[in-house]
Amino acid sequence: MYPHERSLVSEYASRPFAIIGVNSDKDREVLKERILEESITWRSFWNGGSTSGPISTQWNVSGWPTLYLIDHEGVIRYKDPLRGDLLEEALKELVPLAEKALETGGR
Amino acid sequence: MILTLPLLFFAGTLSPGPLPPPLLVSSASLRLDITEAVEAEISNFDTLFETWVATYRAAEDDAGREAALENRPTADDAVKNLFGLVETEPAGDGAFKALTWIMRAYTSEGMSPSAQALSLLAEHHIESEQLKDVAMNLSRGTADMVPGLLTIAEKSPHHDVQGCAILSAGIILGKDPLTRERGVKLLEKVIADYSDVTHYDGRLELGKKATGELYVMRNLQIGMTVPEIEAEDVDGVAFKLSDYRGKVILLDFWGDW
Repeated sequence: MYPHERSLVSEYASRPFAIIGVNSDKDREVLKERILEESITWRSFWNGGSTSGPISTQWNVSGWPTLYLIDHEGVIRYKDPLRGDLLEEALKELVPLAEKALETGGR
Repeated sequence: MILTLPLLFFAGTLSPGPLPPPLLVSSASLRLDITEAVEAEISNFDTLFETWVATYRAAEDDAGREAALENRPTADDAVKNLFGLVETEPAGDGAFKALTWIMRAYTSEGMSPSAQALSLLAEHHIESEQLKDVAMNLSRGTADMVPGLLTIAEKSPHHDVQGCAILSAGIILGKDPLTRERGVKLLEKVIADYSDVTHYDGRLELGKKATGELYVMRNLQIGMTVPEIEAEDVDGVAFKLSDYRGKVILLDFWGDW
């Protein structure tokens, strides 16, 4: 996933798009090193050091990665399976809507 | 093929150039092409179904809609005819189209082979404790499994088999907006009556699983406003998902493993 995520981050740099992670690794310090090694620039919630941490438990996540795509108004627009082409298409639809809302709001 | 192979070889030795086309043409014309017949069969059913949908939409009240549901056309005949066509040329594109269509088809039995197997298990093996695994494994099953699961839930003498069957039926029904309310009720029943049941050596607690599934049904469906997440980031700094409102967010449950 990392290369694809990195390419999304660079493709949508300076546009209204963000990847937010919920990370379920065990060791924070090891993870911080890996984040540097893999150039992971997006921010992640810490799920308490376990795949059965509070956030993934409440969200009933049982497979990793699990993805949700949320629009600029906070509405869930797509859920897994959300891979490759479908994700690209969804972003092409949603990011311009977010930009439009920004323009209208700025008037 | 047995006959044409030596011919091909012979042709090849006579002229080292490309194979003469007549052989290819004749072998192609021998092959039956069922694609057209398959498409006709499917399109017949589509027409029938669209006509029915129009009737259903035209119904003015619940009673009318119920009556229309009774008359929903089944794909029994189409499925039978398509299987017949597939037998004549199972490896062709037409067969592929037919088989993938059959897999989505709504037949009067409404049953896939695995659902039929489940219903026979429920009928003839209802005493078995092993139905616990069978029921649990069907949480990712399809809607045609639900009647079999509910029979098992009703008739099994084992409390834990009942719990797993209700849980799986609830999860399946909850996936479809049309049946979601029934799914919710079943999951609430699991929480009320079967929270003591565990599976996979205690790693799965039925009550917790049902609670998680209910949360997804009530809060995490497409079109719903995403619930707030408020927690520390990896560096220990607290933040909220709503801090990013105004942006499109790809929320990614991940781990470096």
